[in-house]
Amino acid sequence: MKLTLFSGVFLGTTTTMLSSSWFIAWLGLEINMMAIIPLMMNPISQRSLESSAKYFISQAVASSTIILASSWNWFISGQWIISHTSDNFSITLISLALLLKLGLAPLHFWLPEVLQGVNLQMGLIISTWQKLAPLTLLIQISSNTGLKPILIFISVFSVLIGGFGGLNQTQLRKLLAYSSISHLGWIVGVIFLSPSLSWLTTLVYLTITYSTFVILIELNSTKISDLMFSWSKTNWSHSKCILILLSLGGLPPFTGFFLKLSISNELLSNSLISMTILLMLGSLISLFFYLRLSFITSLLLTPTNLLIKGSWKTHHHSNLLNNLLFLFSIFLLPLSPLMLSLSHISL
Amino acid sequence: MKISMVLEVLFLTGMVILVVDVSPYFGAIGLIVTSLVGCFMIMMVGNSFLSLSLLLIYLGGMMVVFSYCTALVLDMYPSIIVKELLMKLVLGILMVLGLEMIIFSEDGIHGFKTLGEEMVDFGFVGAGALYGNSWLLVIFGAIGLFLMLLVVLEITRSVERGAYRVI
Repeated sequence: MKLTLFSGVFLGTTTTMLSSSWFIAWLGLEINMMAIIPLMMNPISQRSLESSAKYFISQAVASSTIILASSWNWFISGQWIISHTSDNFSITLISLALLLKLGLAPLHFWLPEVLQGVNLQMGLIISTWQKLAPLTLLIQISSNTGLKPILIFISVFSVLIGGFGGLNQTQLRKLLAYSSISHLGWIVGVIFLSPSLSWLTTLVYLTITYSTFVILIELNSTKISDLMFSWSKTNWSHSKCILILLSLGGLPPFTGFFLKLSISNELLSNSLISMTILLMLGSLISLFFYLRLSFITSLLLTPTNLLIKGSWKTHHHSNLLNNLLFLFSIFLLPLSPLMLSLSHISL
Repeated sequence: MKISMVLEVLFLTGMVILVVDVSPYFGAIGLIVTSLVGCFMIMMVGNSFLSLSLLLIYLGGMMVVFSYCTALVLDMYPSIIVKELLMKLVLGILMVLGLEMIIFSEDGIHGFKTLGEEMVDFGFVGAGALYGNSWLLVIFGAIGLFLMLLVVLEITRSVERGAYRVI
């Protein structure tokens, strides 16, 4: 059953990403959403049922808005092709629906609660794989100039909300939800200027988020208090934790810095100076809580009871993919000109 | 006896079986009979494609899904109709039969020649294009619907689970 549902998730996203018609894209989004709902219900509890219901409601509203707006576009222009969407009302409504699917402010209210209610593995899938399909559609319709004020407002608002919202969190999944809101705000901020830069940023950001979730799964920690005592565990993932958190925050020797640098460069070349200032200030706030988290995890020896014995039998399930993506999310900064030129972005 | 009158009586019988039965197992037989007769009636008008697609989708799709779902729900105490009510309903069918014989008789009251005169074309060829060039869309739709069935059955799986209970 899980194999069928996971293949449904994969099928839905792939259908949407490969489609040129709004109808097939909507079909893929619906298959994706329906297949992931039972997966979110493990282990079954009131909390996971509640968060799967919230996820279903928000995504279903967005999907039905997409089919409504694309039907209106068909009524006006007579065709369903995504890149020829011409009616302004349709484009606005579709982009708002896609931003609801991604979880950007001011449509972000479902994301922290949904991520909190599921376990870390499903949180990984919701944060990484589910963002691909709506971003594909958004990139395809982003060349319309009517979207520019909406996207600028939403991206600045998302980064600020992602920064301020994560300040008071002690639960790691809610923290990562606000970090996802903030990073997607950066990504959506450049879509109308350079869609290929936006796509490259998405891929690198998804790698970093994947590595963060994998480290938290290895440490089996969902709260800050779990991370505090992770130094006594035998897998030394707390040292990986500080590196990945600083990369997520955008500090220079790590990959996350190149994301913010290239986006800021693109925005400043197009004279969007106040937007860049606001984005950077919002990221500064989120950097504060990443630093707090990494300080607690790796730079502080919290007192535990002395009866803790680290087990000498390490359950060392080292996975090639996880380690490779971890290396990419830390050490990829020197390769950033190569990545930019491979995506046809001229600096 | 014209065949149209027989068809109408059978249609009505199917609906009566559907309405009479308290448990869903036996009511499904009424639905099957009704839709079969309805397909035949549509074919008599001349629209064979609609009848075929109705048969495929209604009986082959929805009915199968309905019966699997009701089979999984485990009706605790399946019951059938009380004998007196059945007698009343059979009496009702006979009355309708008699009324039809009066209305639709050859040299009786005319003006109800409903079956078989004009072919009504609602542009159903548009639905037929789905089976031509865009067969992949049909396959995708089928996969999506099947996945939806599995998802719904997974969510409402057992009686004692949290908020999404079936019974």
